[in-house]
Amino acid sequence: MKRVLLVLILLNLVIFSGFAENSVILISPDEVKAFTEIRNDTVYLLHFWATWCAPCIKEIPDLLKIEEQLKDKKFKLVLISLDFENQIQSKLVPFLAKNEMKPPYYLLKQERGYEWINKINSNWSGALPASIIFNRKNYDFYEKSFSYSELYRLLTTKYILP
Amino acid sequence: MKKILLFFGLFTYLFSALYAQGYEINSKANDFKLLNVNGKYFSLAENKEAKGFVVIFTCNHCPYAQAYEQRIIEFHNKYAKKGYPVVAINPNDSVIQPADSYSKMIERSKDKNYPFVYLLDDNHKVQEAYGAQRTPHVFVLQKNKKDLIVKYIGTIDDSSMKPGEVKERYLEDAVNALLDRKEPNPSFTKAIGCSIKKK
Repeated sequence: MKRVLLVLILLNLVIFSGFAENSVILISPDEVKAFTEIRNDTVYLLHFWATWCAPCIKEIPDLLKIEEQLKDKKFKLVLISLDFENQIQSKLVPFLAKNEMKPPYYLLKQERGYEWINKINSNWSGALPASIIFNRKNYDFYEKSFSYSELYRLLTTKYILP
Repeated sequence: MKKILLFFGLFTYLFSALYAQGYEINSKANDFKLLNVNGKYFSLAENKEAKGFVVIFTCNHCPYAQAYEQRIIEFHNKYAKKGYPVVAINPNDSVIQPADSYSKMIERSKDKNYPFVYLLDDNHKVQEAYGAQRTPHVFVLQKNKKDLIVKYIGTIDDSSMKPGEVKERYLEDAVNALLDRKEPNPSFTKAIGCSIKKK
């Protein structure tokens, strides 16, 4: 029951946070885990990135392009930043604005130690970028950078079927 | 049917063997010969007095590597004389990340007065053999006669960005355990870090 509630809260955040322009939502590892347990017809691409991560920055335009191309499909891109909490205004917000990224803007609230990394995915070494792609049938973790064509092909052949 | 199963079993085995890269706890580690910032090549075998080594894959550009830089220097100053010197290795390709070039390594090691060797692994041979996945990524090796045995893999402590809030010093605890002839616990930890930059 607790989990269902958590998922509902999280879904509300996803739906309504769009009104809160420029506001960055802190999300805990537990909330991320609950989110990845959602099983419906939508394909979710949960992507961990940061403005300090060079390969992540390179990949963001491709991700946004794929989101636009798949906007009529049951596909949802959820970006979760691992920027430092004291650099939200100095680094993250300017980057979001410059790239005209749409809210909600999530920032992962890192916990002490390392167990929280396992909570999100036990295969995650902690390097960025990392992605979780999931829907009703699949759940896959990727600790790597994708090229545009590689990710588009993967999504449209394995996850989003015509 | 049996044959198919056998085939799949064999395939899975080969596949996993192909992808099983890197060391685990109690793996035997390889020595290496890498270019140091002083212009000379360095091998672990050169240091005959050491009881082991703290091999840290790190670099110039990564904010997590920078956050740990001073703590790595302090660790070396405290533990080199106890027999566990730091061996820092930059595994990044300088074409992808120019801030991690050999000349920038020399600059940084001079600016910050690195008391340890800082080696270049730009063809990633050592990084791949060890299975380092991010910077910083620590591998503690213990000498056992002629062998080097991996005894700890992971991060330095439990508070990467806030040095003032550290509670658990995983690396120090691991080396202290080895000095006490005990096994480190935990022997494997994780942390957020930068991916290794490879072509």
